[in-house]
Amino acid sequence: MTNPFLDIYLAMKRLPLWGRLAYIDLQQTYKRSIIGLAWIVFAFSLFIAVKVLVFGSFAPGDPRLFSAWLTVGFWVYTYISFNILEGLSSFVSARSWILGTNLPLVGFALQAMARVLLRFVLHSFVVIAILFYLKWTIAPVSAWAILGFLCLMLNALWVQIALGIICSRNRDIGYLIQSIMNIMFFITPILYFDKQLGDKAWLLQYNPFTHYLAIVRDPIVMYTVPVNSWVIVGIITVVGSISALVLLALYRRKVAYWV
Amino acid sequence: MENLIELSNVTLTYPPTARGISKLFSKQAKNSHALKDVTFVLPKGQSLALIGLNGSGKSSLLRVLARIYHPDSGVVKVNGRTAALFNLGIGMRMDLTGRKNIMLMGMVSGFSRKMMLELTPGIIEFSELADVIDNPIHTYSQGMAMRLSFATATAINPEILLLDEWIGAGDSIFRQKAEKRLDGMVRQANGFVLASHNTAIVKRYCQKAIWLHEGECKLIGNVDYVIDEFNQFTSK
Repeated sequence: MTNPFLDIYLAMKRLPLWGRLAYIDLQQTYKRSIIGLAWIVFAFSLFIAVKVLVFGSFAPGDPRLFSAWLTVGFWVYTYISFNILEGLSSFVSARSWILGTNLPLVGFALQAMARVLLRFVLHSFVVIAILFYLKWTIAPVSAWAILGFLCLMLNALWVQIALGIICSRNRDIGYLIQSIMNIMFFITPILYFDKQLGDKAWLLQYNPFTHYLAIVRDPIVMYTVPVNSWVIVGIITVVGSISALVLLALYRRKVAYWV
Repeated sequence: MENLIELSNVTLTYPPTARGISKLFSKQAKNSHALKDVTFVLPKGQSLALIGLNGSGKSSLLRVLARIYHPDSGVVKVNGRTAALFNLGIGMRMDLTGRKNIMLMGMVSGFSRKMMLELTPGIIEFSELADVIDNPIHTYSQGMAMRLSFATATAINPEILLLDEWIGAGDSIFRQKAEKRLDGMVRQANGFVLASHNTAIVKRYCQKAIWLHEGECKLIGNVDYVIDEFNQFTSK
């Protein structure tokens, strides 16, 4: 048993290091390309443009509303799904660092989180540009989206720690989650409104991503605060955080052998 | 007098590796012992060699001292900051320049940017890499990259330096400089632990030696004595 809070504290003390490592990671991903990190912006814009064009023709009602719905939805969903996918390898990909230094384990989760956050910030320029183009107005209630995003970040932390530990021991779970994530995109209301599913709309309520999306998207796009979703997200956050702390306490010392 | 390192009855086992589905029904693999009941003390201002055959536990013991592996039982006391020089590439980014890697290694060891900027010129001078310091490390030869990591690790002034099969690399001029720097560490009442197969190097650099055999301390003592016994054992 180790004190999980000590590892978290030691990692938090060195945030600039994780940020720097994350930035180097991203740069290395796009090394030798001419536009480098601008690829992140370009790929995201292209994806949204095509989706608005194709799926906009099915969407009922105001095309402005659908464009904002899809843009913000995809933006938040990308943040969530990247955190999960990076979490599968947050420790395994840091293998040589875990075996060569005694840096706190949680730091590598923070490094993975910082990579995703950097992408999110780059994406946000595109989102702001699109909302500006749509002449989308922001109401005071939209500030709830900030709180929603902070909640997403807290969830990203426990997800990275828990998945990182589990997937360093059992590599099959990583592949399982990858295949599930491909499906999740289509059963989360991003390319369509919930009500378009008609009498099957209730199914979406059982998808946690629906609620994680809602706490950020609804205040911006619908000018509402989804109380129901907040309750569900709150419960998952508490249960998830406790599980991650338990995993960290039990297995923190084992990860060096597993990665 | 306070000791740099105190280990008592340290036992370390590796968990069995996770296995594929084809092995699911075969007999469960057992934990394998990496270290068994290892006890020793390293006083201040001394250097210790770890010798032994492949798989005898030298690298595992170094990782225990670096606080990377945590033993199943026993007590590990390491008094002071350690710097580890294990296999090359750890704590380095091959695509970054030498200069940026110095900064990165410093930050990993807990030094501020400002402090590292001050130390950088000295590190570059010691490593003799001034001409190529702004080129990416993957263009360096192995010896050059090792010079850089050695120069950085020793410049941040650790109390205990842990070296795994390290000193053999580098040309003879650099080896002399490295030797001087290690001597300096010992004189400042710091110390180092060197794991190596090269008995000539070990004799030259270290005062004490531990002979590890299948995870157990077979012999501890004066370096000449331990190595003579080890050589007799291997030539049998």
